[in-house]
Amino acid sequence: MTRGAFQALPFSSANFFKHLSNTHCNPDEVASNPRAGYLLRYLSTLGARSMVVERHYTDGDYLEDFASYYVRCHRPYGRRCRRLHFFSCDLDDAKVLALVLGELKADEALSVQKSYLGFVVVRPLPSAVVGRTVLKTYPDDGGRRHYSVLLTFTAHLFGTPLHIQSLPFQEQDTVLAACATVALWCAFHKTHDLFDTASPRPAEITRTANRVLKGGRPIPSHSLTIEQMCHVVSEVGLEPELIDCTSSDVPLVSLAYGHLMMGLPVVLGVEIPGRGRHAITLTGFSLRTNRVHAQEVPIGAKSIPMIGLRIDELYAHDDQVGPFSRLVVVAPTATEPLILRTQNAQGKQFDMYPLVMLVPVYNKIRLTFLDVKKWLTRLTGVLLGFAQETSIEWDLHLVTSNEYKMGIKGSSLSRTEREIFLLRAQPRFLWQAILRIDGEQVFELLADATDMERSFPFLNASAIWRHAQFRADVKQQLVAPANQAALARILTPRFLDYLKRNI
Amino acid sequence: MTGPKAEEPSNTPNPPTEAKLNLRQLNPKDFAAELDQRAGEVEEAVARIEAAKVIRQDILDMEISI
Repeated sequence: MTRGAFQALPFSSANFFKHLSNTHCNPDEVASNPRAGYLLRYLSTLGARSMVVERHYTDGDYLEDFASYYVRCHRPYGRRCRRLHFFSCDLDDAKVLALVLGELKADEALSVQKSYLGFVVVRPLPSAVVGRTVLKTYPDDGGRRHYSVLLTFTAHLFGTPLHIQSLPFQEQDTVLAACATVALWCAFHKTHDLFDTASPRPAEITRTANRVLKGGRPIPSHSLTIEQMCHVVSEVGLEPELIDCTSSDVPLVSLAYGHLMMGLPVVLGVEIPGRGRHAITLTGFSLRTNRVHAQEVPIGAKSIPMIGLRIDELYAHDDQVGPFSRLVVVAPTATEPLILRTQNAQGKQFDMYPLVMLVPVYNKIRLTFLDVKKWLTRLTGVLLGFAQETSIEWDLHLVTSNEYKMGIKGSSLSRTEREIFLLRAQPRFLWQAILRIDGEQVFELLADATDMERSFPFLNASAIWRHAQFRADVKQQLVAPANQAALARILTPRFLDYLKRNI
Repeated sequence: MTGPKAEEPSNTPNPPTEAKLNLRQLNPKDFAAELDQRAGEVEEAVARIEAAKVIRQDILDMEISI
């Protein structure tokens, strides 16, 4: 009887759709589900060769949905799910059983474990069959793809641990979870990992959101307002950092990067013309060696040159498409704002217009990207006396002081500099601003992210000059008596004094 | 341009570099004159960043529905 607990099969569209189906949704209907189609393509690209069907799986997220809603339906929906595991090696029943029983040679078992690509929980529901899904990311493609919002996940196949780095995904059921709920659910997995805050299940997110009344019934859930989403973020113990993406002066891609680099998920509200407003969770970006955009903000708006000019794609958990879906960044023009271009499982291209960015941040992260950018804008006003705007790049991102110190430890900074940084008490969160000129890292500043907007944010002795010629040239102008009044006007007297003391 | 690589987080300081940069060489008087010209532009840019931080009520009321 226990042999019926699983079945190993070759990975194929027929097997995949068949085992995603159930009594409420046949394989043909599953095949027409865009998420199922996307997952089939995604797994094929990852090199899936076999799948193991775990026939009876109790999934906590689905169980709460079941207890909150489905159990009280007249139609008898199941309380248990099925789980499909995917491998890039060939497997049959005998080999899986040997793995589970510990009868495989160590190197063979390791090889199977290394070929693990992740799993999909199959919900016994009509249509919305794709439950919690944890899949491996695409390879980094020579270092350009950065999936920063990941956590180490361990699935247990009958007691055999299988590890991957991923972020859970699921499609909305539009009963207990619409896209906004799912986007938050994805994000909270990572914030739980980063800050040990709550990671509520979809039904709980929707219930919490609806404590802010908006009119209309909360369940079945078809939508959440931004205010409701912010309320949920507060209820899990985080602060909702909200950015209006319709403001033309915000470099959206650099701003997203600034948070993604620390592993913070970014929930993005977008407008899809002809369809409505949608929410997705950004999970990574593609960073090119050279600039791929001439500007990040529309012509006529202002922004200092930032690293977003080298980012050509963002990656997102989009419950209308699938996990780690690709969003091509289309630079703004004089008439069009920045667009994120994606495609559905049928290959049909559509555009997303960013409306609002919601970053669930730890309460001690108080200084914002835009607060620091104001100071960098002042400094860039001076730097343009040394370099053309096209050769300057600011890389501004959040980092924990512990991660920063780990990086310092192995660096080639002098012993004295390393001592200063490593032995001094630092705030838990920092904004690290790296200046590159012609691709060379020449200067770096650290701002205390736990401070307040009105204070001067840069830490004492945190200015790191990495290029002797640049340092000498800047120093010459910073101390020249003829420049003092103009420098103080652009930088503020305090920033000027800081730079002079730290050069 | 070069940037952070997947295996090398950008918070890992790079070795000091002496690659030749093509920096402009201005005498302090010309430098100051340029700064004076840019001062207004910088103040405007800073004011616009400040304005961009304001979240309007219609943003909070936006319904995310698909």
